[in-house]
Amino acid sequence: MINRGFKILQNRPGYSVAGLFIIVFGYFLLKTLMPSWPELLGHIIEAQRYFHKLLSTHIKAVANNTDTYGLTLLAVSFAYGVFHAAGPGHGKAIIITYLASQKESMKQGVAISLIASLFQSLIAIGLISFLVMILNLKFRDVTQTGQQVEQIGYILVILLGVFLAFRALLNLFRSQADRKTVEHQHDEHCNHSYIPDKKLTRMKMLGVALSMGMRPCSGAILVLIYAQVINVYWYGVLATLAIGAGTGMTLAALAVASVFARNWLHGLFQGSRASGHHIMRVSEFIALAGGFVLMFLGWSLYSMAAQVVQSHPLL
Amino acid sequence: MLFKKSLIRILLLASVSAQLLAHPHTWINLQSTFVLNEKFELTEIKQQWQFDEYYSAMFISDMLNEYGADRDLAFALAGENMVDSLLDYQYFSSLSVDQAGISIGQPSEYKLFSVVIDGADILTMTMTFSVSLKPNIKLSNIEWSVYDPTYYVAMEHNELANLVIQNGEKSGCVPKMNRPEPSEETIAYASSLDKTQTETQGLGVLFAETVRFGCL
Repeated sequence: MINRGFKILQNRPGYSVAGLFIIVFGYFLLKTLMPSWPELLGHIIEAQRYFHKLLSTHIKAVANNTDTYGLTLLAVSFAYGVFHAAGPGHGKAIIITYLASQKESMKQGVAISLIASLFQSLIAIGLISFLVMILNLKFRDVTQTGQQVEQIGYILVILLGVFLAFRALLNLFRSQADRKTVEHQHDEHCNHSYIPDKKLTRMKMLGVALSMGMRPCSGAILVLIYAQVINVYWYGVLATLAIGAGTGMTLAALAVASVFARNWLHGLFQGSRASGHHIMRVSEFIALAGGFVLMFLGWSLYSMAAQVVQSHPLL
Repeated sequence: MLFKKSLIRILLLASVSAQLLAHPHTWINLQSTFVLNEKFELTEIKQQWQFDEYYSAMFISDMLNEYGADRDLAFALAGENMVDSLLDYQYFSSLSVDQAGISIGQPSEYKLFSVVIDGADILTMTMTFSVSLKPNIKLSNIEWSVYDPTYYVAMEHNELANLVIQNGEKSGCVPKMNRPEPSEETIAYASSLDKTQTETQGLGVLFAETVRFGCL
């Protein structure tokens, strides 16, 4: 089986390494998570409920006794942020897919995570402050607007996927053309495409951070509105920033882990005959797959949100 | 072939997981009371919905802004509104007798109010539905479930104490709560939501409780 795999690898390294990457990951995912995954989901949702309750209890406590409970609220919020990013946080799937499939460095991954989390907190704070304090909207309308902003975030995820896939395809065609002219001469020309285009990368990074952070964390919106109702809005703002800090740290850790995993897999094949052009082609194939996964995730989240926004009697 | 299949499985699982983890936004604690007559026929189902602290705080604050500071009047008006808007969704409730769905119609009585729990005003709604078919609880296979198909709201009885059979002492029947264990099949079922858009399918079904009765 493994021997056969390597034979295929030698003949058509591009396809097979990309395929193998997905198979290895997919296999591990299926094998370890599949049987207990739904149960795990249930536990995560249960934990989320617990955290929501804990947060509301602490906000209430702050309203009654600011000095004593202020710091505890921040600690609970930070913990909620850590949990949220590790469990129900949406940004996680996006950053893992993005970093596993792109050529970004660890530093960039960490930067994206932190920017996205900060941005997410600021969006929530800005949105609630503007809608409630300035426009004096009903909380119900604020919640609805939050849902709509969330939808925009999902569209951004789809667009990011389209962009990444398109770029990967373009690079593949380009390398195909290259290959015809410099048939397997592994000179410096070969590595040309390796040098990341700084400008594009920065744009891309911002795009990823935006599409991850555009969605205001629903927990943060709840906290802000609740704090406003019981007249401790500024503590709500601080709590939201603490949630963002917790989310950012966890996401950054995940980013580091996915870059490690990606490099490790790359390293596995670097030693084999597949090198130079082949490795580049492989990473483009992985990027292409990553783009498609992002499109798919974005679409499924969008369609779900759309259904709630269209009609929900309690929204 | 195997590769393609597992890829599809992963994608399905990933998408449903991502959707699930973006939800729920609101929780409702449920209580269902099944009223029997002396012939052990199910004549009424009384429901109590208790919203979470966030939804309660938001709702009550909005309500007082909209309908004025007279709380009783405000609750009456907002309650009417809420019951009206739930009509199209059959109050998220479904009753079936011997596998056949039975319409519960509109509530014969309802009330929206608040109770103070742990120092917080908790929004609470009660609704009473009459069951015209009057199935015998000992002879029929009765199933009751309350859930939001979109899973925007998680609705749960949480514990058996929230299921009550009124006048049921002599019937020898006890309520049983079944929580589905989401499997790959149900996940695939839930993810078919986008294609069909029917009311009964959706994420909520993955965690929907079903109440049945066990009789001596």
